[in-house]
Amino acid sequence: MKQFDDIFKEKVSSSFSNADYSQLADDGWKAFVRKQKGGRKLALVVPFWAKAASVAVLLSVGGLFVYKSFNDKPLVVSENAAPYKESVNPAPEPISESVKTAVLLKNCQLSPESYKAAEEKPAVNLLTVSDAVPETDSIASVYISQDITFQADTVRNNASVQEENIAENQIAGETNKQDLPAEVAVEEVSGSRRTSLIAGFAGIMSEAGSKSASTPGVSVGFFIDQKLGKRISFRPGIALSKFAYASVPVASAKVIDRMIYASAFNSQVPVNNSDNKLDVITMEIPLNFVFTVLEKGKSGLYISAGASTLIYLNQQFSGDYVGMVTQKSYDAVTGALIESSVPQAFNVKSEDKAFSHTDYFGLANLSAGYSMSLGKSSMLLEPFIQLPVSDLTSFDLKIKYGGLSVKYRFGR
Amino acid sequence: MNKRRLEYQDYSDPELIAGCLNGKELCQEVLYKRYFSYAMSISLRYTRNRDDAMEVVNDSYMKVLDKLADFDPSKSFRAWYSKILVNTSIDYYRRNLKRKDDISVDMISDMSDEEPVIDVELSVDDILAIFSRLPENYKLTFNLYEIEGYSHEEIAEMLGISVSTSRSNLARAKKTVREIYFKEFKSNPARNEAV
Repeated sequence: MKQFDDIFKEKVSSSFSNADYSQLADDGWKAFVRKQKGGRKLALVVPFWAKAASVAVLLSVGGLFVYKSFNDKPLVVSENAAPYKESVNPAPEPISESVKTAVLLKNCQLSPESYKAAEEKPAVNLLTVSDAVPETDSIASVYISQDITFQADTVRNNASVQEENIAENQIAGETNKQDLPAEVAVEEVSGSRRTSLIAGFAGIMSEAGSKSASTPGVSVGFFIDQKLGKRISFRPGIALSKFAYASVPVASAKVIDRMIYASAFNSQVPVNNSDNKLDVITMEIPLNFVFTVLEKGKSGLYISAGASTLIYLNQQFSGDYVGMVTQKSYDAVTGALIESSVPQAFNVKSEDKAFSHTDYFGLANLSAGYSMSLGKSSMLLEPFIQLPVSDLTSFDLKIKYGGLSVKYRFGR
Repeated sequence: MNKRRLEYQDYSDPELIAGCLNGKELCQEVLYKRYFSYAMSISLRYTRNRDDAMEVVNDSYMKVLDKLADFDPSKSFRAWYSKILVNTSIDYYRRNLKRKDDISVDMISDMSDEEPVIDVELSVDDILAIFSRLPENYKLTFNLYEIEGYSHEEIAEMLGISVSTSRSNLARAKKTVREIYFKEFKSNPARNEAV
């Protein structure tokens, strides 16, 4: 008697080598043609690298906002306070007389004699004027750009005009100096308000189908608040959430699909659930717009709306089910094959790992919040609801969320 | 069109391959259908059902058409194709790895060392039913070692596991097969009587 393993191996080899699936060849070819022509395009719609890239882009944008919020202040101040900087900067290094003469001669088609004459007269002041020119424009560049055809008289006239300008510039410079502290202060405030970092956590109740979550979920996240206008701002973020559900209404097909002996079960027959459990960890990327409704002193009321993309980091499912199994037997008398369906209890366990499923803009976010000042920063209390735009998780569940988030804004 | 298809069906493999290389769709179709049964018989052993098996066949054939220029016509197309099928099946296994199924506790505890004798005629469907109850890694190792004839070293390299894991998977696969057979086929008196 041959060993079982050898006999089984032989049976596998012989059975499959004699198997004839040619009746499926036409269907197979049609499916292949479809795949060849359209399937590849579909596969390209959201390949894995694109999902990863989109996450990376979102994180980068968030990082950029954070970076800008901490590094942009000097830039904003310098941009707006430019007139002051120019007027208070120390005078440019003195340029030697020979350089001045060379520049003038080269660019102004002025004969040495007429230049000399002009230099002895008020045109001398012209060089003095240039000392007050902002440092960004060197003396040479000022002269070159002016493209003046020097003549002794016009030089004199220009000199007087420049003298007037000096006086005006000096007055303006002094005015700027006086205005500076207030201006910088205003800019600093508006700069800090433009972008701010928010950190927060939330307690969340959720409902899958008509079943509430077995325990409240928690969420921790970071957000960037970017002011777009006086009353509107854009608030992207990233948050990690954990939820646990029990007795969720998972479709039979989804359960059977996760069974070890999937093919033994009749997928057309619904399986009855006695108990199941679903633990989900998600990375949520909310993109919300915030509208300030009321602002009173340092407090305010706002409403927020947007959508969230959910990237699943882990989905653990387990459940006890009763399903119908097709059993084959042979009639003892006639030898005919008899197929019968019998109920069988079974346990299903599955774990979908990180990034195995993503719901792009799967949730619509709605919230209203109250912000209150806490010294140089502020605290936000924000009740919210999230409604499903599409089926969520790998189990295609309609999940609603609601809760209260407490956020801390760094800077007002 | 049908007349031409009939003509192509008389073509040898090298002629069809040459036609495929020239982009003739009819040659591609005839070659596909010529090896379809063979391809399905391999892929079915690695997948969960016919739809998945057909998907593996189609993915494999796409690779065949992509790599056909590299194929050495002096060698057997069948052997080359089977290698692509096995590799694609391994890819299929890897894709499904992200969804980890556990073998039920009942199943393991009931396993015995009894070695039943195969005294019933096992059909392809019966074998597939047994395979469908095997965890994916056991099924893969069993097929690669017992049916395709790969060594444990080769399997370890292909699946990125250790040689000892491959050996252990095979031993467990055989034990599980015996157990399933014992439970499902030996314990069915009506069936045994018939045989």
